[in-house]
Amino acid sequence: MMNRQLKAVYFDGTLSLPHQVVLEYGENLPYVQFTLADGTYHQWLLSSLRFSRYDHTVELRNVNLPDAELIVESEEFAERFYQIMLEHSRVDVSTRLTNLGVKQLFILTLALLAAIVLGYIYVLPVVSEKAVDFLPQTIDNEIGTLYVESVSPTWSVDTAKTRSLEEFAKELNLKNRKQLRFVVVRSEVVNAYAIPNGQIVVHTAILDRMTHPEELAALLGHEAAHINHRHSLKMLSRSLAGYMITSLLLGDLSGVAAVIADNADMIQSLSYSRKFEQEADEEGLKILIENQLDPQGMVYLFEMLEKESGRAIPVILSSHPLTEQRLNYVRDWIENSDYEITPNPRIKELFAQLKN
Amino acid sequence: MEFTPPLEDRQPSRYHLEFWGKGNEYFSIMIVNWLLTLLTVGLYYPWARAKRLEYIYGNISLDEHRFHFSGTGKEMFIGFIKLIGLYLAAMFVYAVLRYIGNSPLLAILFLYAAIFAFVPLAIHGAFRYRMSRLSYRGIRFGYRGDRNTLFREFLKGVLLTIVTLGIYALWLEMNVRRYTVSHVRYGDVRFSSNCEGTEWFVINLKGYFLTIFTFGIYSFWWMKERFEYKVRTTTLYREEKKITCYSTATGMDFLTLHLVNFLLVILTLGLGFAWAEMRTQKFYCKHIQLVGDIDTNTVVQTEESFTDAMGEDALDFMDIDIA
Repeated sequence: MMNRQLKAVYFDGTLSLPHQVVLEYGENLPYVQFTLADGTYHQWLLSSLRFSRYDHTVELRNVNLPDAELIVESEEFAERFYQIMLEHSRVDVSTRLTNLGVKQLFILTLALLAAIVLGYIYVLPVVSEKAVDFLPQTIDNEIGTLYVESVSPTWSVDTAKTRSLEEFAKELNLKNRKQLRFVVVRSEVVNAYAIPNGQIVVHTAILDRMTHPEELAALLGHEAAHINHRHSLKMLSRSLAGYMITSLLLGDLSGVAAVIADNADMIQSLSYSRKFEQEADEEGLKILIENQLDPQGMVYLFEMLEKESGRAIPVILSSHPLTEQRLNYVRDWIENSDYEITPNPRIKELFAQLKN
Repeated sequence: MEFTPPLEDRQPSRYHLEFWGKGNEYFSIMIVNWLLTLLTVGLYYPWARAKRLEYIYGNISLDEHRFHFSGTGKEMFIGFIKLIGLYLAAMFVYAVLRYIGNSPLLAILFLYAAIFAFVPLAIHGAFRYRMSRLSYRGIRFGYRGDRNTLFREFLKGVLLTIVTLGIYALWLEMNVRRYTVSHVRYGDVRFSSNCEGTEWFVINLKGYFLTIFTFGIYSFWWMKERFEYKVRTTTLYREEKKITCYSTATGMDFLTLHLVNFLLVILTLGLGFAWAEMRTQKFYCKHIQLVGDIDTNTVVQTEESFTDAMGEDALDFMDIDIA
């Protein structure tokens, strides 16, 4: 309750000469006051004070006298005055946080980091996937066209087989939301892939190794699902969001941390792509059933690819990782589904054309 | 050591420079800066910078009195916005030249010219702002350099650097330093630097080759020479009185400083950076000795107040160190 007095040093902002003064302050006083040797009286309102504390040294400045400073060396005053300034809401957030001490800050930082990591794993994929829904299809087309333009010059297109594949696809309902285009490329690499603009590329090598037309139908269904569900764009959206977050987080940190972050991001997107693969497998199975084809076609396809991977890892497996888990999932799915098979001589005929 | 002792008839005194910053305090500040910058998606950055500078300057004391940096995040934020405006304007001119004027060569030339023109302006701006916000015992520092003079000096230096395949850069560096340091004021105390390119060239030539011959070990002695040169060419004047500066740091001191800092940062996976930075500041303050006869009790406020933080951000933007 009582006002307190203590010695302080005052600089008036016109001369560097220190003035010894007696400072008076109190818990209930909305100001501090002191009188100079020449009799000049100063009353500084707490609301116009700036307060800097270095250990037991406190520097007070008045916004109305920007050059003047009042310096108090007292541990007790430093503590008390900080409380007074807190009560008068004259301490900014940053200073309050800083005053928590290293230990608390460390915990706070760890908590925030944990929140970010959790958000990164659980929230970011959902949000960035959802974001794709707001993007027009023209973006898929542009990205796809750009890709096709850069790789198509290296393609050796088999025009006859391409025509047969187009016919084959026409026989199926691929549940596609946009126009699909097909191309058969002569290549010894066992591979097939979908491009976001609706282009599905099938290599001759993968066709050669197939034994059932349902395998090809399963493959087309799987690839069409990638396009329908805009998986490429979702992956892109997710990695961009991931990149933005990591660069914001580690913007100021060293290159080592950035490399770790980059790799963490890659591992994350790999497992993410597995989720898409499963989605496409399921869609592929649904397409087979819809078309009254034997869903075992998907199993045959996987078995063929697995046998292939015994010899050398086909490219298709590096982009579409084939795991025991995926094959089991497909088998279970088939077991638990009702379906009807109608023989389709037309696709058998077209399949034969593709095989020769 | 080329330190000239003060004349006998004057009363020479030693001024005691000291750094009080502590690793744990600085670490707290940096962590809070990082947290708030993160939570505001980067917008807090200028405020973070202000906090950091306030802490560092506030912990340097000369004869028991601390320096004070009063720059604010708001000022630096405005500076940053201006900088972005400038950048966009330059990009606009570039795009016009490149795509509408259809002259890529002219566009590239413009870009180079813009960068070269920008550097001296940024140095000028940063000195003006930083010095205007720095005070000691209630008396402000100030920078009175003329922008156009610095600009001409810089442009001349850049052209000569190109002609001499880079060698002149050392003269350019010293010319800019001499000009800027010599226009710093602390109240009615005038800073002065008589550093010059030829001596700087000799130090660096010697340092470069000896560092190679000793497989890098000499680099610490090279650092020592560079530091010592910059310090001993700086003098403070007030009428006929002066303060001379010299360095007491040895090559071994530099080696120890950097070796310990390196271990401190590596062994803590980077978290020790705060302690390393405090050690460095302490090192500089400890090894700069000031001797002279200027009475620090009678310095008069002379500098006008000044508000423009654009240079401050620009220097940070381009990573130029004005220390």
